[in-house]
Amino acid sequence: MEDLCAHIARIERAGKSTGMRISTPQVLNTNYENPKSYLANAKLINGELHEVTIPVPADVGAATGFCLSLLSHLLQNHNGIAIWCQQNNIIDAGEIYPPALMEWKIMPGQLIILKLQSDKDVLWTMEESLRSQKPTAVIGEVAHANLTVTRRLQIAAYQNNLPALMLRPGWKGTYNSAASKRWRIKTRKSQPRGLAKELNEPGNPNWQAELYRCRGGEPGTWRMEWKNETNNLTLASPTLNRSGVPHQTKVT
Amino acid sequence: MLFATNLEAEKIGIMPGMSLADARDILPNLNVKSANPNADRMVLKKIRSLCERYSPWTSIDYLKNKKETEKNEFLPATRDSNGAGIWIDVTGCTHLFGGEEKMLADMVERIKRLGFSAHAAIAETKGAAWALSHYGKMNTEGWIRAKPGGLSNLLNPLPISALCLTPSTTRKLHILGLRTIGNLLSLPRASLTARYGEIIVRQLDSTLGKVSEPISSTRYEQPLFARISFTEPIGNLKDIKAALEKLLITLCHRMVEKLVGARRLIFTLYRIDGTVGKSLVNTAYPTRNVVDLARLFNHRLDDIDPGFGIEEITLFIEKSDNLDSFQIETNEFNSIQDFTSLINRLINRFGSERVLQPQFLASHLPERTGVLCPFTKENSPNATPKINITRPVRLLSPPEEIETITMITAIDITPPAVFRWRKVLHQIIRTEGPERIASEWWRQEHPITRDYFRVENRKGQRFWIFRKTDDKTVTPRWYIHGLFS
Repeated sequence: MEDLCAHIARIERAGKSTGMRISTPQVLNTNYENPKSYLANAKLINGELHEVTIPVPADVGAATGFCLSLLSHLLQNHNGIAIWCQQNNIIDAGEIYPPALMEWKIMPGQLIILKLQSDKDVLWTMEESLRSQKPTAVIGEVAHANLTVTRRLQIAAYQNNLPALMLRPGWKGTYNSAASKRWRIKTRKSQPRGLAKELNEPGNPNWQAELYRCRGGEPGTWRMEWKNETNNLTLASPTLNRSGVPHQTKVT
Repeated sequence: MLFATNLEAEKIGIMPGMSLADARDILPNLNVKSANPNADRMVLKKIRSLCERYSPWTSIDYLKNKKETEKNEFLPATRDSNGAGIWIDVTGCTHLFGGEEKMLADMVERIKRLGFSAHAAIAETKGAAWALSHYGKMNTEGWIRAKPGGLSNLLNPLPISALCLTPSTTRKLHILGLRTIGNLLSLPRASLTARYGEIIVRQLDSTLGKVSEPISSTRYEQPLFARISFTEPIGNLKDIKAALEKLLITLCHRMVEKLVGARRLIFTLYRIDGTVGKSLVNTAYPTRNVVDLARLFNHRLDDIDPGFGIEEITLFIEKSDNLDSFQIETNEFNSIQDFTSLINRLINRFGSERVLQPQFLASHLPERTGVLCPFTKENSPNATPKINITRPVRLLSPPEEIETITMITAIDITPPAVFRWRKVLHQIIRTEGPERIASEWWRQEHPITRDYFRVENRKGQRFWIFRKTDDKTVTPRWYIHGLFS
């Protein structure tokens, strides 16, 4: 069965490698399993470049959390090390704060953080790390990217069968990208439960993750909640905040 | 005062240590230039690095200069009172150059080619080598070699100053008519000790090798050092790389035997014009993989200038660490061992201060609890503390002050309902706190007390803001310290 899935994935990847498909994202009526198959399954995100755009600078925290959630599963399954390259000059969104990593069950020895000066350095490091096949995942924050750059990374990720994530903080526009999955992350109001609700305290992180481009899959928008207690990324429970269909956005 | 003189001047009696007036008296049109000891020292350092081709164990002879500054006496006028020297411990190295004589001749020749005059002496003790090189009778090529056992014959006719005594002792001995080391040796030791203290006898014994100069008891380890000299000077980058690889293979074999890995490597090129090029590579974790190490140098070699050609290259592993043998095929693929080559490359490209890893410190203050520190073996992550309270994923350093819109008094402990951060207004709808965090009591100089709040705005963005409570002002100041996911 797995072989078959892999085979289908290969065909789809090959078939849709040309051109970019922009369409109004279909909002999936998802169940709990569906986002997991996209996010938590390392097999699917291996060999692909994921681009995470963060239109609002203050949402960097949410995007960092989203990436850490993806990493958390990968690192726990593979017991490996991830490389995170930060570029100092983009926007000053602070640096990764080690104590927070514990929430995602990421050990300090599992993350190597590089603070680099330019996009060029970040891209070089990402590509070199992918080609060395040593890290479990490679994450980079860049200010500017283009088709060439993303294609290089996508190819490097594909050839070495490793996942790569590219964060674009403060990026609002669009451009052609070869990334096979493009996400747009926004923060949503949290949904405190129990005592926290009564005290009016913030609840678990809530994000709106919009997969606005997905090669070999269907785009969609999900509301996700990171559950600290279970170390799990789930769909935000619709019963608590039933505002009809999940938030729908248009791709420009 | 004259600091140094050339040979011609010494022939007519102008010696270092003379006052300029005296010298002008002898030769009115004396050509004088002001001394520049710093520049001299720089040249000495360069010559020292040139001498590393003979042995990795070289140092500049500062001994004499130090003694002179301690005793602020008139300098004895000898022809070498400021002659600079270089020590080279050539134990076990001479055969590489075809014996001691050939090595000495090579040394003198090389330094002469640079435009300096030099004397070289080799002897079985440090003191004797010093005495011979400064006062010994050189052969025509400018060097002297003490044959094993023939040391006392060579030393006997040398003046007492060769013993490296203080100028006052030397002068006293001169007054007594003791001019040579031979004179001293013929005297009974007991009376010498009684009159002048132990120092003379000790110097005599150590110079003659009767008393061994104290050497620390650590076993001498053969340095990880390799060299190749070329019959024809090379200038092609490809050739240099190939030669370097050869050296690496030799050293890596030895490192396997010793179970160590390289931490710092120094690659030195000796050009035919006497200049030296160096390239230094540091590694975060000990490595002894030829391919990885060669790749570390790749980037560096591109900007090496071969000049007129390179006649010799050496590779010295200055720092090494234990590295046990390990199995190649294990289930733990992504162990740190596997990672070293990539990390080392990143560090050598960007510098060690850019490749970081999280580390926890025992402190309450948020900026000290978790830090990012350079990725090295010494800094490998320690035990992780248990943190039950949610912490932000991004920390701003330093904290940024936020503009509070609503009026708050000092008594108010709740955070502002609206604040402005980086020109954007944030309306707070949910808050959690306060969590009071204070610096440790033993840090008394700048005590810090802060009340932290976790707040959420209308859009759901969560911030970590705090109020400075040590502020005695009426309106407390608020800061943002981090972003939550």
